Amino acid sequence: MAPTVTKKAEPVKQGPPKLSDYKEILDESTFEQILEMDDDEEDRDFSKSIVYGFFDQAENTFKKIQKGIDDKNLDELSALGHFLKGSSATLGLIKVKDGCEKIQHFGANKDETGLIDEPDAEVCLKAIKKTLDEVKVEYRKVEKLLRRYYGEEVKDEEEKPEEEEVKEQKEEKPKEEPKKEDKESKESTKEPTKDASK
Amino acid sequence: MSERISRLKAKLLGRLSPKADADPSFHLKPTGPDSKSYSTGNLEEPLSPKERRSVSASEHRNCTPSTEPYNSSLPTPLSDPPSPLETPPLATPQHSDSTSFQSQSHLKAQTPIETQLTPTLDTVVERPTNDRRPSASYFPPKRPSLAIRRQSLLPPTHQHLISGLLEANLFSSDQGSGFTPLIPHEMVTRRIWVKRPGGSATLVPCREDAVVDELRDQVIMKYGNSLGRSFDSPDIVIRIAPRDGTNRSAHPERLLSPEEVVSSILDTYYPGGQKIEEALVIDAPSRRTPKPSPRHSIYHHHSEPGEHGDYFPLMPPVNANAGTPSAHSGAPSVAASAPSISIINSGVAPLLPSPGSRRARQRPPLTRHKTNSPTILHNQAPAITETGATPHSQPIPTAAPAIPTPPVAAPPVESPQVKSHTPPATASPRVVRKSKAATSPGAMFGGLIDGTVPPINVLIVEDNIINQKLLEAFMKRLKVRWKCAMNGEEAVRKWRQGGFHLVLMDIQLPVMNGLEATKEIRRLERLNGIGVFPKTASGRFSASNTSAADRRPGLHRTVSEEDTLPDLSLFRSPVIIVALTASSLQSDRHEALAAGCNDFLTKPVGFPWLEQKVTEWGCMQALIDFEGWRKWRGFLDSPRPASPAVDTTASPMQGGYRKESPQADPPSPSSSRAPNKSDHSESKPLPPDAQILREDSWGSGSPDTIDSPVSPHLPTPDDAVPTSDATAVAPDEK
Repeated sequence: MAPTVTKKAEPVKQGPPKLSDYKEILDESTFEQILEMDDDEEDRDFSKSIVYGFFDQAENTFKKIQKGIDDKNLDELSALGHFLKGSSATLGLIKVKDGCEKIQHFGANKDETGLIDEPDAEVCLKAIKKTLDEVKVEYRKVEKLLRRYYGEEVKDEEEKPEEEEVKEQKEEKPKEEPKKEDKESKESTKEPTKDASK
Repeated sequence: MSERISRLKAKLLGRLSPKADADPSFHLKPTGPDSKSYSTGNLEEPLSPKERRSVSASEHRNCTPSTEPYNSSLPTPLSDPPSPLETPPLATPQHSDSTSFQSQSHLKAQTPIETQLTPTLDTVVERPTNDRRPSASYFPPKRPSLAIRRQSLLPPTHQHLISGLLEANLFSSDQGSGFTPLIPHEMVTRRIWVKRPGGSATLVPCREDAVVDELRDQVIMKYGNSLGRSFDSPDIVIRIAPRDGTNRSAHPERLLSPEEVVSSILDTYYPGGQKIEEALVIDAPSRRTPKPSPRHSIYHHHSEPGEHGDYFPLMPPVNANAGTPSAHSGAPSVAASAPSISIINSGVAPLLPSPGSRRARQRPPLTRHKTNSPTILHNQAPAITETGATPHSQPIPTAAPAIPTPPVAAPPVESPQVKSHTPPATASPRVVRKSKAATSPGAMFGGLIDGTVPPINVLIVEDNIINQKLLEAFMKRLKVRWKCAMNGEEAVRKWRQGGFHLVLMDIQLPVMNGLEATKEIRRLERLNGIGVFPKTASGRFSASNTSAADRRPGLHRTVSEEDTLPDLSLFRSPVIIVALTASSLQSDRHEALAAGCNDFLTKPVGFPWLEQKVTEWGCMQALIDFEGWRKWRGFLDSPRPASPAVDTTASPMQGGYRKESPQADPPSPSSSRAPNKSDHSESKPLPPDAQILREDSWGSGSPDTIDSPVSPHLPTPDDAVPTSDATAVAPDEK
């Protein structure tokens, strides 16, 4: 398995979107720091586990936040915002982090900057609701980016294929990719190389 | 040469006093003409700095008694002789060549630094020496006004000393006898030839009434590189050899005892003045023992920071590592033995490592890092994290039955009084002992320079699994061992198991937040009397031992059961708590510091910052727990694989650090000692005891731990106690 994996992994490295193209949603240096922790640049076990772990965590936290909103539990919401803020900041997911910070502040009966008190719990809840939606949007964006980065074919919603699947999908990539969004143009330029390498 | 000089000069200028910085030319202008005038009598002719330099350089070579460079213990910008800080100890050619000089090196009434900084004083001070030189033309000193002398380093109150000098100078034709009386004793400086074995001689200034101990200080300053980095002045030994053709029995070659007065010795040995070939020989301790000394290997070990092995082997790993081939088992032991073997073979102790060679030594560790660290941590650390609760059950990595501790055991020394020693034998025990201590810190810092992170145990307190994972990865990369806690309560619980040096504490945590956890830890530390200076540290002060003993029982009475920490030996010093704050708000930081955190990092934590903090604080902890550190080092000397006897259930920490527990009950050191000893030897595998012991006693000031080698047992405070007692007595015997 090892040799083939290596061969296939190489294109993956070239194929994924360039992180530097997404500075607004992903802090490159922060994320690269995690990438540096990978023992193996091919499979990127470590960073992948971190990132995918974050996906799980984010989904769970969103659910909890939703529940917190339903329960009108501001304290809980603030804590959840803080919680997700921590990990998203660690990954360099700037927008997600900012949104989570707002949720944290609102949950603490503050305005979004956290500097001004906002005694009205209802206002806070509403703000949190709105912010949650924004955060989710940002999260989807960056999630898609990261999944692609790890060589995963992303359609609309997230899915977590095994490594094997990832590789198979890669081979199909050329056909599917044109349908994808903006960055497809970039990717397509790389496709020929990929085929050539095989 | 001139290029080197100018480089030196630039460095010097850069590091001298602000005053000097402000006016770099300051040094050159005033001193230049002076030095020139001494030899040429041509005061008027202005010379460019370069010319001047060449002039003075050639003077030296010709043995022209230009004293300028020699008068100052610190090099003046002009002088080529080695600056203690920058150049190796070997004297430059000028030094060895200028043999005619020593006779003039008698009286010097100024502090060395003055020479550099205050040219006006220079003029004044040079005079006496100058006068003595037959060839020198005498220039009536233009008495600098006091106003000009404002640059003097001497406080105004000492101006009269200068005046005294000047008067003596001006009005006495026979300077030797003439002005000596006028000069306050403290001000008189004598210069003394010293050299390293095999090196060329150099002059060090010394007060007329200085004792050998003070001379050693000067020597250390002079040999800032080769000695100063590795040794403290008390570590070095100064040897005197009789003049050729004199009565050897009356003045045998011997080591000088610290309390002897230098000038009187010299006068006795070298009537008429010390000549350059009669330079006192400086011996650094490590070279003294002809036999392979355990110390020796330790020494070398020290210079390889980051060497395999566990310092504070809290976590089980290392032995398990046996699997990890090269790193732990084979290589280290080889490295350890190498030095001593070479000594045996050659019969000559290796030269003291110069800074350069030392650096080379340290290189291996770096390589090693890369290779074994990831593996080790990878395999074991995670497991540890899971089993977190069993730190105590770790095998002592080192506990292996001793390494070659052989001859060391019977250090010849009978008393600290070196005086009685016949020459080449051994260094004074005291010297030797201290050398250890002195050496290791240097090595430690060397390690720091190399970017080696001290092997500490870190507790990561972080509720977010993502962050936790990343921090763990950082720890792996840094090659330090860690455990994780998800909340403050867990953090306190884990901390109570002991052995942590550093806590990375997230502040906002569920259950118990980081600030509360920090406060709780600080409270427990306070209650249990955990201080920076462990009471039983090294028996340095025998008083401290008794007080510790007194304290502990009382402590038990007052501290409730639940607050009592299980084994104080696992808490060598207050843990360092670095708060991880999500916000960069100053108020949060203040709050964290107020709660008892030592430092903080802003999240997201970047690797460089984390590395820096871990290094800084880790080194701090290693310094504080110096004994533990050295023990950890000492353990390295025993080949780990070869330690079948290792009791895997014993906590290394208990083995190595169980200091306080025995002391709680012992009424007197002596009575408590024997039982403890036997206790230890039964239950613990023995580390290279002699070495360790030596190290242990470094602070006590007692040389003769005669029993230590004989009765192998883990170093415990008890050992230190008798030791220190002995020391305390020793002076009285004199």
